[in-house]
Amino acid sequence: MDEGKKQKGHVIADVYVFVVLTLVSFLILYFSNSSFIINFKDLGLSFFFGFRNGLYEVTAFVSRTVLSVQELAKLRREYAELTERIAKYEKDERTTAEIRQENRRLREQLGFAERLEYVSIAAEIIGRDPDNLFSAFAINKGKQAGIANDMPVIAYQNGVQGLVGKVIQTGQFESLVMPVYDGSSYIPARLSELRYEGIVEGQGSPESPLLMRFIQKRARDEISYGDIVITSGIGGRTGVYASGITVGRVSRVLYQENEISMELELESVIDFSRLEHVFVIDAHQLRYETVQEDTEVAVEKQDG
Amino acid sequence: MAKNVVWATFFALLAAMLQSTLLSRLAVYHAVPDLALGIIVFMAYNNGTMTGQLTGFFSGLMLDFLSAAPLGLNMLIRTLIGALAGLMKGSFFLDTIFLPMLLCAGATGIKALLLSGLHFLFTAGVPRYTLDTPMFWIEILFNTVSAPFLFAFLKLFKSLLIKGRNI
Repeated sequence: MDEGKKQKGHVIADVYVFVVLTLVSFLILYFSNSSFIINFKDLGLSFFFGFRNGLYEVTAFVSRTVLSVQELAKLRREYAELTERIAKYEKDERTTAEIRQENRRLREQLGFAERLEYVSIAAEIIGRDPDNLFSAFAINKGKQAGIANDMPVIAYQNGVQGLVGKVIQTGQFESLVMPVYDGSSYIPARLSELRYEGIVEGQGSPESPLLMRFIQKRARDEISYGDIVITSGIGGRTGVYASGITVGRVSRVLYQENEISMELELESVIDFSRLEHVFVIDAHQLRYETVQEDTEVAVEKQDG
Repeated sequence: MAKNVVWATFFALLAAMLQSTLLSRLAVYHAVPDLALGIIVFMAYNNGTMTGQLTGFFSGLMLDFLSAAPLGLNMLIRTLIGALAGLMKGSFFLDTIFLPMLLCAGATGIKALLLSGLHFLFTAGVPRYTLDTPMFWIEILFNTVSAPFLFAFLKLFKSLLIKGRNI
């Protein structure tokens, strides 16, 4: 009899705890979807900062040691390539200086005072999202290095600067970055040469092409394969992505008569399978410089 | 029981770190085995509903912190899976190969079902598996194949993870 009561008591306790835990987690999910307790999540990421980095360092050390011979051969090859590239850059330097001078002159003539210099924070990728359904990756810099949510992330590959994604969560020493190919990534962009605008969306996997939507249909005859697409910077100073960052190249034109706009498939300029180091753009710094320059121009005008 | 839950949560945290670092280098179609889920199933089947759901709740919390998932998503899913697996405690003899494989495959299937339900409620806020892409099938394969090894490994720590000696 007592045993039966005890058993019943256990079952009731199980049910009570189950209901409480389910309700608590559902409510937290509900509010976190409404961005209500995002800081609590940041706090959690901060709490575990050392674990992932530590494990990454250990595994990276082992793989680096094992693959050191291969690394050496690769480094030698890269060294030769870089030497060649430096020679090319030296040759290009004079031309660049001339173009820069011309650009400055034209900017002055147009009254375009915005300075597009990025203040960036270098970081290393230390892990991927442990949940298969999410494509975020972790970098080894956080709030302490000046990183904040929504900062754009870029990388350099084969001498090309390309958009990687944006910071979605920041801990003290670690941050999570949502890549451009994530299904919930939306980037205001434009064709670099033709200036037609659209929105670039990810399709969930780095193998799938990026999709640029809402492009005016009259652009169809002008667009060619390989055209570069850059961020448009729409959203002004409050926008996430600064203008002029390369997003990808046109790989396919999707045109349908009955649609009001057309779409493009883009090949990202970043090869995500080889991505190890990234740069987080400090948008606040960028904004500060812009404001300062605007103020200087205003003061000059006033003085003039 | 509290000791078991704390240790299991610690093991799940380690598993999540492994999934994030080492295993992500070996991912196939961006899928890695969900070892943390296997740990919850192991705990629930050996200790019952209460330990299973508490382990699911706290290890889900850890996963939510480390992932881009909205806070609460893994907590909810893993609490439910822990409770369900706990209901099966002692129903079948826990062999070394087939039952662990079956339990982990079932848990992955339930996870996919729960995600579909939550996707219906929260739409874009909660993603779901699509059965026509390889990710889900590879994850279920990974979870099934890794289950006997994971269970055998966890049995080495039975004094920390299992109350009593009913293994």
